[in-house]
Amino acid sequence: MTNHVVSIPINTRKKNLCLTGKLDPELRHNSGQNHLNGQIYAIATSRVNFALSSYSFNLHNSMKRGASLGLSTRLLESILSQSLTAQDQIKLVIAVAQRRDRDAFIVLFDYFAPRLNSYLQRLGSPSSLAEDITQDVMQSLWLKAELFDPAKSSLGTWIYRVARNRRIDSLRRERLDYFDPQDLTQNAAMDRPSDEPNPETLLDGWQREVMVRHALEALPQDQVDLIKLAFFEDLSHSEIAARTGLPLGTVKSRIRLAFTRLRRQLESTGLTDAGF
Amino acid sequence: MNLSNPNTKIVNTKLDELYARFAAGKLSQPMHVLVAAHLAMRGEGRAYVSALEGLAGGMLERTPPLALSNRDACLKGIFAATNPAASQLPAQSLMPAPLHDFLGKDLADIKWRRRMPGLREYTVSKQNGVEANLYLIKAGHGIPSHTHEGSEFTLVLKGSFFDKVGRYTAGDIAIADSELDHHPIVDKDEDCLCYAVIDAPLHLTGPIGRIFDRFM
Repeated sequence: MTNHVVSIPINTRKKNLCLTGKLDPELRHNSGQNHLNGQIYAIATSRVNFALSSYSFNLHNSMKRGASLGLSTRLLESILSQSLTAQDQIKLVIAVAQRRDRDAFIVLFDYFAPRLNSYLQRLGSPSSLAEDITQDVMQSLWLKAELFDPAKSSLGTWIYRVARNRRIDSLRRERLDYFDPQDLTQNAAMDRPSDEPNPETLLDGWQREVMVRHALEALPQDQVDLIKLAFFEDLSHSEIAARTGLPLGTVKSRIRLAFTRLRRQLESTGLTDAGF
Repeated sequence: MNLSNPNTKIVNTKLDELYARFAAGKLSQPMHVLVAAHLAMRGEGRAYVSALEGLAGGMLERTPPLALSNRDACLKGIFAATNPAASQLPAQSLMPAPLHDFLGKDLADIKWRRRMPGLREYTVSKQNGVEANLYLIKAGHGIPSHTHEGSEFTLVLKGSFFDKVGRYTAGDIAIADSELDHHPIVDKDEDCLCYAVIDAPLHLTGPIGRIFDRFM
């Protein structure tokens, strides 16, 4: 079977990048444009993720140039939004909170919604439910953006929390329309952020998360692997035992040990006594 | 919690694991509510949970995207939505917000069932092997010796009690494994209000069971 090769030129202020990838023609024909977009998207993601994160983008210029090449706005937004930095996200969410800026929201939507959809489906939600929860979570961002406090966490983490809580609700309740205003703040200290964000603290939450990631990576590799498998890959302890060849009891005790070590590591770097 | 208790360290390890399962979204809803309520009442665990949530949030951003099938309709729905009226927590409520929302009613509206002298019970939910109850226990009274299949997690909302492991005051979570012969006694000075969840016995089958089986 021959695969189509697509190239996606992307203009940045500093450098021209060309993304190349293969499309599976079967899927393309069977599933239509959405799937095609999804595939280009996936290719772009894998190629672009790292390279782009170091560049500063002029989003609008790139959009214009991309449009003149005949690429759909949606696709360009999707690809370009791979590069949404923490600063970009904060600027956009402030525009949503203060002015209900639809364009800003759409950029955030195109960045987060496909990731939420993917995250929820990987946890076993059927696609229709995953999309319902995704819409519900993004609607919370649209209506409640002012509750996000960049001094406390990154926007990704805030959205993750809302999605996690909604998913748990949905496992029991049929009430998907249920909207819980407390939901957004219940894991934080309940206090509302000030109306005017302070530029000094805008990246505090995000920076602290980067430090936590470093603390995790500082643990012995076998413990990092176990935490990642248990926590992020969504494997059960018995699945981890099967994958690693370790006895179930060992897996359980090592995971406990790993979480305790992580806590100590965080404490020693002062990350667990910040004023949350 | 009594910090001089020799079992405190073990308890903290179990609590850390509970925090991790909470942060990762791997608890049943009644358990998720229990930990959220505990975090709303007590500050100690918040920073650790926030750190773990930060890791999970980072993972979300690195998840390979999966395009929505109805992106435009979805956006249209969002822009058409209006803010629902926020439900107000009554002032002076003994219920932390997450628990109040889960119950869907105020403490005053609860129809207690008398289990035995000094002990009233209200079953909040009972599903898939997970049972959540509120208990109102008179000062100085106890719950008779019992063991459970699965672990029992008890969040103290008001008052205090003690068992073999330690003493628990408002905001504390007591964790009783199936092996523990459990005989909690409420302190003499005040009635005790608790929210307790008996979590699913391990290794359930089926899609719901698999969710509970995660991280056990």
